[in-house]
Amino acid sequence: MSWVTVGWSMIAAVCMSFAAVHALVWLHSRDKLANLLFAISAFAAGVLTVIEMVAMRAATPAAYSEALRWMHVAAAIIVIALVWFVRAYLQAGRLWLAWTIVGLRALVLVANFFVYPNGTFVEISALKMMPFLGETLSAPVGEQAPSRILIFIGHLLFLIYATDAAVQAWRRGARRQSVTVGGTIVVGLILGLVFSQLMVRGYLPAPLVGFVFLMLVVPMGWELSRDVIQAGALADRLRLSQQRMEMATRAGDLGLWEWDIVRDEVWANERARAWVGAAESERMSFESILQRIASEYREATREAVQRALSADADLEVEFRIDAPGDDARWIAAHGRVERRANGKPVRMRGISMDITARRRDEAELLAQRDSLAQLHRATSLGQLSNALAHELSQPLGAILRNSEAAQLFLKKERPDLEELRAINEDIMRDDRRASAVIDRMRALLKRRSLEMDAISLRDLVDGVAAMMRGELLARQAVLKVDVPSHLPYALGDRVHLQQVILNLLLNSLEAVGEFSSDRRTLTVRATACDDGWIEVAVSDLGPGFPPARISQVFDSFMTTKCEGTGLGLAISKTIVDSHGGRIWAENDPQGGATVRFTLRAVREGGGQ
Amino acid sequence: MSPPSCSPTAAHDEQGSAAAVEEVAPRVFLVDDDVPFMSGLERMLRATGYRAMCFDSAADFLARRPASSPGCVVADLQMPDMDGMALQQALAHSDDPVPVVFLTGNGDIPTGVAAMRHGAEDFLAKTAPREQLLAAIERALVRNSRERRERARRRELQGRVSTLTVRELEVMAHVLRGRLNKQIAADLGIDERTVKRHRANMMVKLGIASVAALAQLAVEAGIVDRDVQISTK
Repeated sequence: MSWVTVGWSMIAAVCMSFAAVHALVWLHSRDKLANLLFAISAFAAGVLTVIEMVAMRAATPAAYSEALRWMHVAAAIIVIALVWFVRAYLQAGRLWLAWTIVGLRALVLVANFFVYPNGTFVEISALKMMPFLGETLSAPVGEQAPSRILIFIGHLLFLIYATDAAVQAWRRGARRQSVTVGGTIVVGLILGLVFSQLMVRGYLPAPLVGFVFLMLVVPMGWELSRDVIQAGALADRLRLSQQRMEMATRAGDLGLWEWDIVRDEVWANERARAWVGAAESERMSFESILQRIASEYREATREAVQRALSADADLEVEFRIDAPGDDARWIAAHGRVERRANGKPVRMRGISMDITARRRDEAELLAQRDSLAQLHRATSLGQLSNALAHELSQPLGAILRNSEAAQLFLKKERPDLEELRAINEDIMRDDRRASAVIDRMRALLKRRSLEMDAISLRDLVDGVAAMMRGELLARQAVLKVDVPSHLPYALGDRVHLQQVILNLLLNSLEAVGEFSSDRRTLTVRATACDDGWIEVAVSDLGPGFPPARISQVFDSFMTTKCEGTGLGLAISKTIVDSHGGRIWAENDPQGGATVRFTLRAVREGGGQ
Repeated sequence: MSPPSCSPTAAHDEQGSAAAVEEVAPRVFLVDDDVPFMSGLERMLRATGYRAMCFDSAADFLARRPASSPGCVVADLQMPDMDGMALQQALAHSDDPVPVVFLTGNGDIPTGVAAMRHGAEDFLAKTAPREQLLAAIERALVRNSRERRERARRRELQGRVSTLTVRELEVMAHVLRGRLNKQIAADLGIDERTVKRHRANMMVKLGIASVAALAQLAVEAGIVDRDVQISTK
């Protein structure tokens, strides 16, 4: 076997191998355009090397010419691919130079195919037998084609382009890449020019493009292997930092996860896998994780993820997982989306936390608040019990007297049926009246969570006024209600809001207790604000709040009265807060105090 | 507040026919702002045989009450504007007081004690047993009847006393102090026979025959108290 065959085959094989490796790299991550371009140029170089081997063994000038023609195609591909490779790899280079080089090469190809037999010679007149590496090979003899000037200019421009790009990259700080890529390309271009000129002058059987390209590939390969070595070291460091991270996450009880959106594959650390009950080997997708979330939180979670993907916002979501054979677990997840340059989301990374304990505390706190409110309701009910007994004894007394009357009428010889019918109707009406009182009492005592509804404040205040009637009578106070019936409905929980107004009125009633009868007037007023809120104001003509403590009157156990739990205003504030409203106290300049609170108005269904 | 639907008309009818009679049938005046309860109570009392009259506030009662009609008041203690206690005070200062039975929704002891101290006939829950309520009303009516008789007698005796001349009144005052005719004559600076004549005229005008009867009359007419202190009249 000849040295040429061995050498050229090896060069072609090396080029092809590089082409294959880089093509694979590109196939794996499509955004690595530099690898694709390098693969294309390496492939073209491999093909060119083979053609070159054929040309050197050509028997006729026509055969050599034909081979040379196809070598030009491969060379054009190499040049064009390398031009764009420089731009992709160094992230530098002038675009107009790149396009000019490409244009010139295209012109060379036009000449190559349509003007001359090939881009190098006008005509290969003869073949010269030449000893090369211990072998006798064919070398072309002929007149240079004028189109070669285009190749010269192209190479010159490429030199300028590559140097300029390398300088730019160097300035940017990518020094190693700038030297390796810029340097090898400059050297390769010069060698390519020299060799092709030597061939034209008859000193070489071929331009030895494969050999030149090999010189280009070796530094690149070195660069690549550097990357591999670095990747190895990186992997070690990564393993270490992963171990550290794992330790940290375990200590912090954190779950780590990563969602490859393109392939819909979720990676999660041991802790996070345990939470969703996934085995080590199980492949997880977004949907498979979603299915493990408690159904009532599933859609909300899906929406939160969609929002994060579409709006470039961080994911913040809390949900419950009811793992079989395990207590319900609350998880808070925080994630961030990674995007391609075009904004397409490719990955979401995040951490998750087990917040079951916190949720439990919150629930306890809520229950505590509820029971506190209930305690207070019971207390204020105690204050109201006399009044309620009065309320209840009216209908009960009426029923009793009516039944006694009926009994007596029935003993007569000719009972007045009309009278008896009237009595019966009155008894039924008073029975309903008594039931209504009991219902109001029960509603106040019942422990319940918020039930938001569209509420007519007019009805609400009237209900409270009815409840207060006895108490107002007992204290000889007057309640003025100024709630327009055309007011929009308020959004709120009827019983809780009743509690608020009741608390405020009882407070006011307490405040005016020591004053003369003309000042024992309480007012409930409601007005619609322009901004979609309704303001409710409860006023009295009492002594007002102590000015120094007016900002603290809503604190728990802050009381200026001798009786009372000091919770009335605090609970009112809690309730108003839970409705998203605001509550505040004011002293009126003409004496007395006003407590105001706001509620959200409901547009639809309101205004009746 | 709408006027009560029960008996005012019936009461007016009765008033027409019974006005001329000196002692009309006693009536129970119901004063309560809770009309349904009052209407039930009126029916029960009517069925029992009482005549009841309804008023939906204390002011309404004071304005519309039939003049000098015997009876008693059954009033709710808790009412707006003028409550039961205020009504009782107003009645006590009027020239035709009637006993009050208080009804209340809740058995508030201190209020009840205060009401009783101010002369209420009774203090009952609205749901009190019928017998208890009727007994209280009966007691109030009996008391009213007695008080009315006492007031009528006093008025009659006072009428008789008012016919006496100044001199006759002076003689009467001395007689009530237990002075003898001779002593009276000396005190007044007149003749003893003149004293005797004044004394005889006085006894005739007052329709009595003895000094003991005179003393009794003087007390009943409210001229003197039991210790026989002559009023400054």
